[in-house]
Amino acid sequence: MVHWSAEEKQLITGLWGKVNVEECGAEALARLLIVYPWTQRFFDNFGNLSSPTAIIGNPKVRAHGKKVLTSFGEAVKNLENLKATYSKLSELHCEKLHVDPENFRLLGDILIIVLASHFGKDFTPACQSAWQKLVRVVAHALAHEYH
Amino acid sequence: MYRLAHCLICTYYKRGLRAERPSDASFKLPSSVNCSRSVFLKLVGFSVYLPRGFVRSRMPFPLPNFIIMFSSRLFSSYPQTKTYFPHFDLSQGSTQLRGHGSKVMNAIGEAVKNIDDIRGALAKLSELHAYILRVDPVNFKLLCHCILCSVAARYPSDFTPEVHAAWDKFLSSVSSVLTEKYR
Repeated sequence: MVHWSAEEKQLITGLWGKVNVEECGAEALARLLIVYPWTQRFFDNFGNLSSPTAIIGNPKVRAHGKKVLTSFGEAVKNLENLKATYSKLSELHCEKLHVDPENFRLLGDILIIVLASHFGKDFTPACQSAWQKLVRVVAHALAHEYH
Repeated sequence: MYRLAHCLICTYYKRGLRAERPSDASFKLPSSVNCSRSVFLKLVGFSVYLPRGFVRSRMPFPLPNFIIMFSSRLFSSYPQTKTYFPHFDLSQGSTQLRGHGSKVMNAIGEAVKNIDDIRGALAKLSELHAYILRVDPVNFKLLCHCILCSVAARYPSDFTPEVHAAWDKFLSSVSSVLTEKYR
């Protein structure tokens, strides 16, 4: 089980309260697809992903980005029990979606960059450190049921 | 002051450096490359491209702050990276840290200036890392990520997804060059 200090919990929940889930989620997924174009392989049915402009404006990308980050909110609410929280999602990503867990790490790092661009100097090194730990643990939880 | 500095950078850049986009050589950046360069020049243009006297008297851009920021992020998020600096004072803003951060940014500046031949530009540095420093390759990714975070936090409106993609690819190329002689 992961131990979270009181300061880490405060840095995570405090920032989360200010996050616009729809905007940040859409931006994070769009950047993932733009910066690491091979990740588009999982979204063949999303329509036009032919350029950064197309990706950013794609309504399916926006909707799915919001869905992904909303799910991330569950992690923030259940910091003490992430493996159980993501157990079903982990099975889904392994057995149905066949997603390489490396992609969870890529998306986690992209999310950190999006938070940095939205919050600027408020996204302090200490804040980044707590969030890096969170995205790492979430990625691990999502990969936990893989076989 | 900002506008004057920015104009001077652009003039100096067009006069002295590669003014056209890279040719179809080994490294290809998307069309946002010129925008990426302008972001980079905002950060380090003074230290790399302008005379020292000008830098000291006129520097409006907080380059030392930027160095402090990405170093702090690296050591806070990835404390294992501190193992490469046992001989350093790693407190925020230390002279050693600023000095080393400047070296890193200058090396990146050289790579930007010689973007069609990063391997040639960083040959000596590549040998240094392979035979003397032997920093584990995984750490280059961590450093690059922290540089990108710092740029995103400092220049959010410039750091578009296209610029992000270009910089991620560029820093990844720099990292590859620095580790390619390891074995």
